[in-house]
Amino acid sequence: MARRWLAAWLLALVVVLGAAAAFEVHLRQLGYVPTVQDDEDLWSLQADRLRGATNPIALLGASRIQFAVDRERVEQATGRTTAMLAVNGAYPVAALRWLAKDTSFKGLAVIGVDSRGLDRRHWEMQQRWIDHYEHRWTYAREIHRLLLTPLQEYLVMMRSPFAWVALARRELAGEPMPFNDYLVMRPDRVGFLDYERTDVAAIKRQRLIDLVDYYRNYPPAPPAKWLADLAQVSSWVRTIQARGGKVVFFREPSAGEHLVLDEKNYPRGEYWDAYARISPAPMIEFRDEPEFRSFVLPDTSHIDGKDIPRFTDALLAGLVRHGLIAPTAQ
Amino acid sequence: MTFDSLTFAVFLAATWAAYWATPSWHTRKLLLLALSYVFYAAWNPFFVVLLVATTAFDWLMGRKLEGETRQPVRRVLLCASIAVNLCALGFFKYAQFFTNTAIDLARVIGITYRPIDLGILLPVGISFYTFESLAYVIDVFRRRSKASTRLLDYSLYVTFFPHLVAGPILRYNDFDPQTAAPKPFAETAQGRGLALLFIGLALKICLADLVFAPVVDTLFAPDQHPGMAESWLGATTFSLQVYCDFAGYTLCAIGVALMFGFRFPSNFESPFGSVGMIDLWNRWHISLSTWLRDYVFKPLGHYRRGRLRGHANLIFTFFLCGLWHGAAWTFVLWGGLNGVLLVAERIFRDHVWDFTRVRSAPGRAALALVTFAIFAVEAVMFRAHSIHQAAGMMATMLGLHARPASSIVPAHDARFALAVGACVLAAQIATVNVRGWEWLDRVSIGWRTAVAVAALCAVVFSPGLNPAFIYFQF
Repeated sequence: MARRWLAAWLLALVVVLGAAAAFEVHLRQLGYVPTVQDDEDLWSLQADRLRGATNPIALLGASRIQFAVDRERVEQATGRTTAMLAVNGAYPVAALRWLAKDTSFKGLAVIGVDSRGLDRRHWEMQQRWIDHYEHRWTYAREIHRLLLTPLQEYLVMMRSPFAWVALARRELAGEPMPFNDYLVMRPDRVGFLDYERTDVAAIKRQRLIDLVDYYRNYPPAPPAKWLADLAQVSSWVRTIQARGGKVVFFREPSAGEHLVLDEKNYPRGEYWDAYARISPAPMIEFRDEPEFRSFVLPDTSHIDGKDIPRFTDALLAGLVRHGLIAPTAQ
Repeated sequence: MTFDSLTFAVFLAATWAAYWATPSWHTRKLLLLALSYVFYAAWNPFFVVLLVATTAFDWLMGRKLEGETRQPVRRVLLCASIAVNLCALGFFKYAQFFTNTAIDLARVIGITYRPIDLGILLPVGISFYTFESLAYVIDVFRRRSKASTRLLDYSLYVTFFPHLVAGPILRYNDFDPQTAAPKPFAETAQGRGLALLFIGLALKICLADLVFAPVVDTLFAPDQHPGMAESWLGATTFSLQVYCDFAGYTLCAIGVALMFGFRFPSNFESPFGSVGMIDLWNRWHISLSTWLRDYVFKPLGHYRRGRLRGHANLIFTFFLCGLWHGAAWTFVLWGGLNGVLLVAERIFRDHVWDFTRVRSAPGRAALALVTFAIFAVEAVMFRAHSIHQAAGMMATMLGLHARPASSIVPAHDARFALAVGACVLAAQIATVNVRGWEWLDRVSIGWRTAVAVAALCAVVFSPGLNPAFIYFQF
């Protein structure tokens, strides 16, 4: 009887490993590639990098930072511990507030944001990640995440759209196989977009539709109200500065209809520039910086992964010029 | 660390190998205890101090109770032990709840306080190990248990990692004899233990998290107002989710314990095959319901002091059951509602129709479905964010509150969840008389392989989001 259990398990293991291997090969034949899946645990691993680091650099923002700045390259160039804390789809003001409350943070916070992202209604967007780090991040989760990442790095089938339940649901709904994502995420949360693997025109079109919808549903706050709200943001900046840290706001490039819509709703002169005049932190606007003029933004909002090294160097050059990092750092 | 994490996979493999490689039984137990503390510390190392302190205190109290012959002194010792345990539980779990309630009550009489955030973290598993400790000292007081002479064995009873954070709630009398003699390495236990671990993981990862949770989370979102059909969908899928989540966890616990040679009691016995709510509560979270029966309901007087008093005792016991589940009025009301339903069923069976006497399979299946529907209605109170949300949804389900039909969940997602749910219900109705999992040892190798393949596949092909087990919050 006992031997039967051993045999049953060995047989089961062979069957399941065989099935997994076949599934993996099938997915790769369909053109899917492995990628690390971003989540709160991966964010927390980056947040941990700030703990105990002297003079670290925190990269805050949304997708335009996460998919454009090479954390490793910044770290190598500056010799300073650098954490990628930007979150795709979520503006970063909550993270700035969190850094201000963290008395141990005395480094540089680079905050990729635009006028829309500074609007009070978006302040809490990253609070979920911070809550997770503050209340649910444990040694157990850390080890789990460290073990999971290499599996995701090398196996396509570790991506959640390929869970059998997700595939069965798609089958029931008569939907095709999952969208072949053009984003490959590195374990340090830096994302590389490959526009050659996707339909750029469709993405661009959809982005524009979403933005038009957004501005229709959520018209911007009047400039005076928007500016008054930012007094609180300024106080968080000053808190960091008071203990020797630095903060910089960076308006990353956008282009085409996207930029036109942004400008129409948040005219630079009434919003960004108005705050720049009173902000305790320097504010870098991509249109004022020669380094950022040459980038192509295939979807009007993000650069291609191949441009990340050049973009990172441009950002570093801008930071040097504004006196935020040492000139030798590049 | 949760059973569905890779951290636990590594921890289990290392602990298992070290345990079976250790020749001395005493050293093995020491190793298990030490690693159980490591398991607990993986959440929050500071709470290990609380766990060690309460364990040592209750062990000492047990020793004193055993040696003391004067009944008044024994009563004082018992009260002291109960008070310390309940104070710890009350402080960590209920201080915020009672503070908020006091502020709300003050507001009613015109005194306004600002809400206070006490910032108290809940030690994982405190509700479970507190109940185990209470059971122990009460049994020693009643002289139904001998007090433990070895702190190591008692600590292992409280701390043994498979049951530490979410049960099943063990009884000292069941566990202690298992610590007396070394466990032989039995391949049958290993094989079945591993099978239970993977079946439990499949229930949790595959069914609870991937099939049911997305539907439940969508329909119970605070800003949603589902119509009648979707309210029923939300309630039934949540009932199935909480079953797969918690029964999955306890199956893992039972399986892992078996891999170390320990036997845990069964905690779920096809509850959705039950005929009536009384039957359901004899099959659902059995270790909690029997604990409440033995340490609350019976000491209150059971039904010995008359029907009316018995009904009141039952309702009170279930109020406590609700409060044990969570520090919120929704849980308290959920518990009370269960108590009322049990009383109503008793009265109905006594005076109208004793439906448990139905013997035909289709008849019992129909009654099981009705029981499941009743369970689903009251489960809304368990899951809802507020009493207001729960009341609205329950009224909609029962047709007391007309809401326009909604289509919040995509139709194919709803169909998929319902189809899987129907399979779970059918399986439970079909296996309602099957007790335990020993049958796995009796089936052919082909069937065993099929079970192992199915469970392994469900886990391996379900890369997901790794959310926590629902019962960890209790």
